[in-house]
Amino acid sequence: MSVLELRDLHITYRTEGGDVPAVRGVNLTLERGDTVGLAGESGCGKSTIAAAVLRLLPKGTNVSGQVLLEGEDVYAMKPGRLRAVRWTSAAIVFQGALHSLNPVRRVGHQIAEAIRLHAPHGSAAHHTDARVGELLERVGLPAERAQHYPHQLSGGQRQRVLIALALACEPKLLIADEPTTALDVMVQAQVLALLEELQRDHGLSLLFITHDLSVLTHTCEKLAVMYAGRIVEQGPSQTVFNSPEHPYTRALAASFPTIGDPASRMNPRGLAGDPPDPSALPSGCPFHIRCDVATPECTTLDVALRDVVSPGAAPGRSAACVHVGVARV
Amino acid sequence: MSESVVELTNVRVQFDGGRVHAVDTVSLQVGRGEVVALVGESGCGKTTLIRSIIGLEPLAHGSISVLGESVGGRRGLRALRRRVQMIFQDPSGALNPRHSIYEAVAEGLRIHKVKGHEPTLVAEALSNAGLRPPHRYLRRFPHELSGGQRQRVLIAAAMALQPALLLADEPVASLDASIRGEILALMRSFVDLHGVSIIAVTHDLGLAWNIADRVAVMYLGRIVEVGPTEEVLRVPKHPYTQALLSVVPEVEGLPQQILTGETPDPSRIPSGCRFHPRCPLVASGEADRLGFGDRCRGVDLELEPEVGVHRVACHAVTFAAGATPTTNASGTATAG
Repeated sequence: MSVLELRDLHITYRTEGGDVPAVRGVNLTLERGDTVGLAGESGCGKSTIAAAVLRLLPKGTNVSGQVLLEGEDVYAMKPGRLRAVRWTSAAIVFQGALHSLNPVRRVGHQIAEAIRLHAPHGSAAHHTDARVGELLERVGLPAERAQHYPHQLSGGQRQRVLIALALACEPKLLIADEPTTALDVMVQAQVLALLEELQRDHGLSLLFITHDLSVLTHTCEKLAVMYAGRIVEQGPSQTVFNSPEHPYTRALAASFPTIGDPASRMNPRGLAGDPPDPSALPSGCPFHIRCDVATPECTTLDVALRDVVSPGAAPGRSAACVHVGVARV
Repeated sequence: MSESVVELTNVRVQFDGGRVHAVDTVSLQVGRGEVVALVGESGCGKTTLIRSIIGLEPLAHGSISVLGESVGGRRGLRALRRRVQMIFQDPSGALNPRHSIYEAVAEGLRIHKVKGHEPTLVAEALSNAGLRPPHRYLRRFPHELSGGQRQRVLIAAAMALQPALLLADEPVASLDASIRGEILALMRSFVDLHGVSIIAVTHDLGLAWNIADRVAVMYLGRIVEVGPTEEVLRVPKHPYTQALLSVVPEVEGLPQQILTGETPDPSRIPSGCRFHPRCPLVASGEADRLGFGDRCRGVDLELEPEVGVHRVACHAVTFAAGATPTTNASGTATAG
């Protein structure tokens, strides 16, 4: 059974300015031990998906389609069941390590709280303390750090505490939403290595969300690139990054220069224009305004994600572009 | 060699009554139309260093001159700040939310009493920064613009004063990856068209590869390696630069060398080479095997004297150079 399955997921925020469709029909499956990277610019809907998996969206948000955690529909769960599933089936690590921790509570206390509230059978206090120490050591921190307050820890250490917190109840799925974005390069490398190790040693499934395509390619086996609330390209991460099919992925991949590559020396490349406003999406393919291979039909025709059939394409690739798999540009 | 736009000589900046050595003896020259990337981890002193160039940090030692004039006392600070402009990491925080885009650009022109027709100058500045047509932006407010557009406004405001030097503190770190390239291309175009010089502080080595002529790598308040971008990033000599490069996902084929520990503390600078507690050469025992381990632990060192354009502060490099009497041929790789 899949650890996570999203079936035709649509999410629309209700705001004073009207409805904002943030996610528009996403299908995604994670098997046990899978590492999937979800990439895209600000506002593409990737973080909305993270929040949707554990029903953390603001009240009144319209969700249709299905979110299945180990085959069970999250949106059909009763509150008690939902509380049991959070942390034990799936846990989230958020970006702002400082803001996700309570500043006036020792970090050990915060981890213990998660264990007490979510562990299947409540456990004795001394067991909990031992477990907190064990969790901290697993993320590479000395057990004594449990006595520290968040402000006494560095950014990298706080991010490790958040990972320990997420692991408190041995979840099968870890959702990491920009877990390294605010960190220094070296500390980022440390945290990524930790995530990889945990994933490998514990058979964790990992849904990794970031705008940094190069980090995802490094960490994840599969990659899904989102644009304007939809997945526009999907496949094995190395091939998606190194030979992108969708013009958007191509532009996104090109904005990560390869150091040492003469083609990118003194030649910064990016994507003209800004990410689209989800409340006022362009007609047709929402990317056509920024696309360098757009043709008149792109302004009216919005193609769904489909398998890439062009000769030489790696298996398991799909893209949502009228020009892909039909006539290569 | 073109004339220097800015020249730093043995600059030291200290905090907390001299306990914290944020910048510890740094010398650097930047020529006209040259882009220098200052890279390193948080707390290495790179931001303090560029703040000292516009007179925001008093120097404990050394001197800084901009276009031949000394940066120091209060005198001449306004004139200095017209020639030296700064752009920051977070464009949202750097813009007054209640000032229109017109005001944001015009303010600097007024402060520095720039001659000319103000509305024309503002429109030109916006247009040069890629906000076209400018009249569409003049009356808007920062919250109506995207992050990339806001950074363009700040670049427009800075460039409207025709500075000789632009100090950019992580200019694209808060932007989406897809937007970064456009902003970097814009910055580079000001260098190529108007001859402005740029010191860009960043932890992003890709940025350096994209726009910088030279790279200076800082560690705990000191430059540990400096040289032309192609040499420093392709043939890094300092173990710290090598480690930094190895963890960048964009570099292929280098075995990852993740340094343990947090970024070090500038109030407790280690003895000897300040990098030695984290240095892979020392940790692996290689430094001792080759016979310079004691120097790493005991002898502080600065950048090697200027024999070439690529300089490094590392006992291993000095040792190797001493062991072989001839200066080692620089591994210049020709792009092509």
